[in-house]
Amino acid sequence: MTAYIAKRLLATVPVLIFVGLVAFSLVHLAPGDAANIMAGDYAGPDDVKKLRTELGLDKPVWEQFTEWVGRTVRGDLGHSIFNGKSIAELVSTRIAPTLSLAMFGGLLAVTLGVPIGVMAAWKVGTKWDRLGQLWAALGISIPGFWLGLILIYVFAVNLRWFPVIGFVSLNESVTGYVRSLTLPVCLLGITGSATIVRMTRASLLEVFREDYIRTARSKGLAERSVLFRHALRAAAIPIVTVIGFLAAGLITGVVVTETVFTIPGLGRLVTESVGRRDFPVVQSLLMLLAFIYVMVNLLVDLSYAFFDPRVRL
Amino acid sequence: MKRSLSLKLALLAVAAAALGVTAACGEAAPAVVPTPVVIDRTVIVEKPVEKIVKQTVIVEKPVEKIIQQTVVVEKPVEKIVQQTVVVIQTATATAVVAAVPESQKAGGSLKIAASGSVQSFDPNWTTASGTHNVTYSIQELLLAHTEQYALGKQLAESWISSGDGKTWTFRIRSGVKFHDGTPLTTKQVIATLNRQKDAAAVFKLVQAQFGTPVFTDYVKVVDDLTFTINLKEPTGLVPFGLGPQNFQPLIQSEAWSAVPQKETAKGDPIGTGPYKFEKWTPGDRWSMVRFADYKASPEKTDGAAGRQTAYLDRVEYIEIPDQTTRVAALEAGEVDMAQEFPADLAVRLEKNTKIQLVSMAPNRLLGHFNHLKPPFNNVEARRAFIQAYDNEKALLLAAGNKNSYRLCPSLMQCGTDWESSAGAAGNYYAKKTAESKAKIAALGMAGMKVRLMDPTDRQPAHAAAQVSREVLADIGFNVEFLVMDWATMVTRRADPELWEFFHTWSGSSVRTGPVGHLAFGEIQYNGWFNKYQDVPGKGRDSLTKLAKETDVAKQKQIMDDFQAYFYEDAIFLQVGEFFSRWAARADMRGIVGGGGPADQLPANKWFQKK
Repeated sequence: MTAYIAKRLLATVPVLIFVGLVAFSLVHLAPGDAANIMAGDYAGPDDVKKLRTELGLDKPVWEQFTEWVGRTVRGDLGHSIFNGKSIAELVSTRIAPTLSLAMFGGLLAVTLGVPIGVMAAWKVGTKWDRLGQLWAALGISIPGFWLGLILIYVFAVNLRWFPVIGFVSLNESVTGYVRSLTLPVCLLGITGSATIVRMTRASLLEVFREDYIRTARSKGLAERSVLFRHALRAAAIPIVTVIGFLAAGLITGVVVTETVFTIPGLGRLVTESVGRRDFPVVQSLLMLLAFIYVMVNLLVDLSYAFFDPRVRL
Repeated sequence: MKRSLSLKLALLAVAAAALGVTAACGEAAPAVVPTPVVIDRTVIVEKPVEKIVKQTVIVEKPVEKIIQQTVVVEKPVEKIVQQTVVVIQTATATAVVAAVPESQKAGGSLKIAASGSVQSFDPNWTTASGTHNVTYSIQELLLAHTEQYALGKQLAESWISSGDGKTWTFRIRSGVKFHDGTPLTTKQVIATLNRQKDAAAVFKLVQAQFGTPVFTDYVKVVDDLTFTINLKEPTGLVPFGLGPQNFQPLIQSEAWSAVPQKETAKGDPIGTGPYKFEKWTPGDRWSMVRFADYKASPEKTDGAAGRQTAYLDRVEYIEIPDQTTRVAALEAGEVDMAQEFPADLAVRLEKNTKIQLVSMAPNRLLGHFNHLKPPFNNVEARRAFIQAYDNEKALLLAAGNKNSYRLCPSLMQCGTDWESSAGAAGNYYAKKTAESKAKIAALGMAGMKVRLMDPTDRQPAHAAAQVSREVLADIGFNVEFLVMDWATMVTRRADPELWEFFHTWSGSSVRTGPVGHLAFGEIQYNGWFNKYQDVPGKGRDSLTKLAKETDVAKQKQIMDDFQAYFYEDAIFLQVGEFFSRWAARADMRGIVGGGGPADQLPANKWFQKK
């Protein structure tokens, strides 16, 4: 197992190099640079040119690339063009809200998604199944930003149970932390659970058709035992895979949730930086997010061994 | 079934009895003596767009010159909030505001939901209004805009021109301190001017056209509080060179002036303003607190000029990119003021008695031709397009509702003394589609490709682009509609090979006096991204005359002549004016509401004590 983990970790190196190359190329292929945005609309071409020189954006791309690679290898992520802050500092201030959202949003999605999916499969063809499928269809179809605004209007503006905006860190107030996360986590949980419901239902239905399930039933095992001891474990691999993708997606893709609830997380940092063409921030964040993706995938792969002993062979 | 029916009937009877008891109790209520309460009620009077005040003010200034201005305040504001003694509606509001006893002005914390993020606190970085709005509270100018966009005193105490008009002597106020305790002297003023000399639009223009190339000859220190600006040729523009403009010369501490531009974001901005910088979390919020040692100007408050008072203890700007969330945060009481909100939420906000709506200074919506490439290197083609344009449709789309825009053919801001209709007849909002189509056909341009850039993430420009697309197609062009984000558009416009037309909008500071236009790039010969070609040189001649003229009446005549030429040469498309609207708590006071320069600033604002 140790060798397996080491091998998988080593495999991340070429992946990250590839991601770095792609990130740098894509960022520089996009039209525009920070100088154009920073100078403002009343600045003339000369003003923009002056600023571009000041920022070093007029250097050849290969020179900028070698500088960036050199810095990254030394562990220096560089500085934002816009605010001069170090990228490490920016990430450190933005990662806590995003991780909190991803963790609790993912947890809620699993807590909702797996039982609803199991119920839908177990009671296939009944009203429970139809309700489960309706939940999945709504969760996938309803736009996240719309549902977010509805949650805000009902629970924050009218009922005043939760705040409309912002993130309160655990250090500041535990109650504030819980209150500030409740609505965005609900949004992520509801929308995220939809895919899990579908996958759980489909996997279980497939497993229910297997011979060993029929054997288990025929030897008189209780239905609960058949479901939890035999069927669910066998159906777990695709479900865990979906949950893994969901977790990685939550860390990297909570842009809409962060924007609607005004949470200063990594998702907003990425979109703001892309809009401003803040190249160093975009490049470093893409590398970081790729690394998170790779690590989550690794964890998912490792979990296969737990659910399916054949993987360990 | 029978049992269920009986149960329902029983429930109905109980409900009816409960209602009866409630009603009876309601009748009996007068017997209870209520606790006296103070009713603090906002009366909202809806008024259509109309002129409220028209007044001529003659201000005699002993030092510089006599400024004659007609103050016309047009109120497109849909709600006028009247409460107790405060009437927020006219140019005389400053005096009314001052009449409120100081004891009635509560401090506290003001939270503003900001629509955009601050990119930098260094005015040498950018012309972005976001930076200017925030730096104005921390750093101050020598001269600032009054409510009517004339120049008023801020850090400058007086200024005088020598008999030959070549030496201008400025004196700054004594006893002013920076936030780090350093006293303000001419040292910091010179350091700031030296730093901004290649950027500050008007200051740079004065030096280039009338001053000396060597900075130390151009600006000289006389003593700690006095300095001179020395010219080769006289001009009346010198005070404007020290006032509001692009890349503003906001006076900074000497230490900060020495920091390379690339590194200013790493340190705290230090100024002399009523508020001092507290904290900045990029992408989230920034805050400032009242500066205890602030020395306010002894002059009467007038817009951003004169006495500025920090009634609020702390001001926090929270970046809320989603406009619906900004409004929700205001409704829920989590912020006290929200910048810009969607038009469809206006109805809901108008009904909310706890909220007041404020129309900020108007913006001008405009469209730019590529003067280097066909078809718009041809004046006839430009004029045909302008004459066919549906200005009102574009403004309505950009503003979102009919109370938030006005048709305005004037290059200078409508509603000010500089407003003019010279050259507009038959050109502005003429909607001559058939004639223009015939003209384009006669020019042999029918079917010619026009690449129209549409920045979808900038609503006013995006809205106008939709109308331009229709009009261009209607008059016979083959429109290639290029959808992109703002960042892409501002890059693409720098290359004249890549486009034929695009829209932007401008704030009020560039069109509230002659200087704005002198510094405004797009009418400069070959100077801005549209690469305007002033072939006969008539525009340049007018602007040169304007720069030398010191008499206001003659300046106005020159501007009228220039505007007539502007329409003749169809330099750009003047669409009209639209107002960005903000919403604030109804008990917030100090908002003048006339579209002046100070409403967006926290100074002189307070919450009515309950």
